[in-house]
Amino acid sequence: MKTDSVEKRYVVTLFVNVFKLVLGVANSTIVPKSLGIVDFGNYQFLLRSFTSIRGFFNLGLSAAFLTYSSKNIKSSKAFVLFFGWNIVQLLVILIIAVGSFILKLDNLIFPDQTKIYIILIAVLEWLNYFSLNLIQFGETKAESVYVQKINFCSNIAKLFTTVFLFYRHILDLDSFIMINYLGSLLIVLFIAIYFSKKDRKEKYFEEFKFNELKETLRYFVTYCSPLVIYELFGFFSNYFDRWLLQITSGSVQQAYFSLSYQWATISMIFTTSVVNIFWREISYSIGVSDFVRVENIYKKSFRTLFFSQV
Amino acid sequence: MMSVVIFCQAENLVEIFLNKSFSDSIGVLRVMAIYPPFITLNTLNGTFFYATEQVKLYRNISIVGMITNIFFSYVFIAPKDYIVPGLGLHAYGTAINYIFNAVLFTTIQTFFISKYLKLRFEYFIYKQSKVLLVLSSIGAVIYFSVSAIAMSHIAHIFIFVIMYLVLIGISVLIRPDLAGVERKDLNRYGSSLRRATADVFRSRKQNM
Repeated sequence: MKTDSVEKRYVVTLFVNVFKLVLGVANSTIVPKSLGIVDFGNYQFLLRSFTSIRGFFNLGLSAAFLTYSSKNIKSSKAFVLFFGWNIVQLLVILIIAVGSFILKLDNLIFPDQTKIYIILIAVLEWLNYFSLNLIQFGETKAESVYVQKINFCSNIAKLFTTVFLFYRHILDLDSFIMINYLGSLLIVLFIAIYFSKKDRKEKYFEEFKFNELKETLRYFVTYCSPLVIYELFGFFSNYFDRWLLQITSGSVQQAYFSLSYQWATISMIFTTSVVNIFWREISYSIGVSDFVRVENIYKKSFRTLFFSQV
Repeated sequence: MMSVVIFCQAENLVEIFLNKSFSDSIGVLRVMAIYPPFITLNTLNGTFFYATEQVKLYRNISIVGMITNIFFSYVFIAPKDYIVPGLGLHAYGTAINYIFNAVLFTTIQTFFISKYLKLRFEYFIYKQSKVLLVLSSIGAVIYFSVSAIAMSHIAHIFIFVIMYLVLIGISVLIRPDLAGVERKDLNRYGSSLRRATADVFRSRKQNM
């Protein structure tokens, strides 16, 4: 069973990124208009808060898993460890959310938020992250064409549903949350089915032996331990400004900032495609000690990217 | 090219795509329009540190950046009547904080990278400044010219974008180094485009 070429993978990823740009424009225009300024601000605050919280508990494991899975064709142990940790993250997030209700700290940690939306958006954020990890797992096995097709179909379904509900004047916070749930569940379902097929199972997953987990765990710990402090500061840094804005200025100011942030960063979707190629070329040039090439690539990328974004 | 377009057309964009309840976001949008070029460089620099295995240096710079972010978030956002008063700038304050940190830490990262590559740090500051000056001047000239003519919001954006792209294109043709390319790269792209266009017309002629 052969894998897809680098060019084919790049073109597919770029095509999906262009479409994500269109989806980004839709999310930044019709969604705030339909949800209204308060609900939009609340949704953005909760989503960013849970991204920060979940991000802290990631502890750099995503990078470790992607590196391991790219280097090793068969990676059952890493898969079990990493996706097992994903489930633990979900439980921790739910404990934090429910714990804040019980200890009556919810108005401090999540100011002006409704309990049901706290839970719904906590789980949604985790589901988005889980589906993204599955897509990246597919990329590490050079199966980009299929996983990006699923990603593309999910984004198309989300876009059309959003636009349809907008024109019917029934797009609100509840329906928008459901659209996003369905989009991520589609990705999880189809990628799970794809990698469960016999030939792929044999190719990418060796027989799982619990007693061999120790070595993989040691790899993860070695890779991630320098990043734990970084993740801790990252969590406080990412959470603090949005929380301070919410608690001092409320959902309306939160909405103004979130909207401005979304619009300003729409064009950065293309940066990811370029940056991955840049990473590869720099690493390769360092590997062959071609520092003149490293210098030229950096200077050119620096100037071209800066120009294209201004 | 989004920064200049968003900065100059913030009002028209909000009028077309949103509604009056978002009109107070126009100023915040203008401030955040400055963010993309610097955060893009931040991403590029971070990738460079990973690719050259300078992970600890990158981590240390980032941690200092995060501490600075928390401090200045408080300074810009906290209300003036708090025990430790801030500037009380609400969403503006958050936007200014993002820009401030992005510019500061991109500059610090670029400084360390220029040391690693044994390049002059001033080279990168000069190139950034030149691009910002030229493109924002072009944007300002077009904005004030087009604003003088009464037209709809969509027409305003459309004409602005077309004129901006044309003038940027001319600027790059005259000075390719503005976009970080060399004249031979432009000539090569031009030749490829001419060849591809000729092939299309040749195959159409054969089919007719």
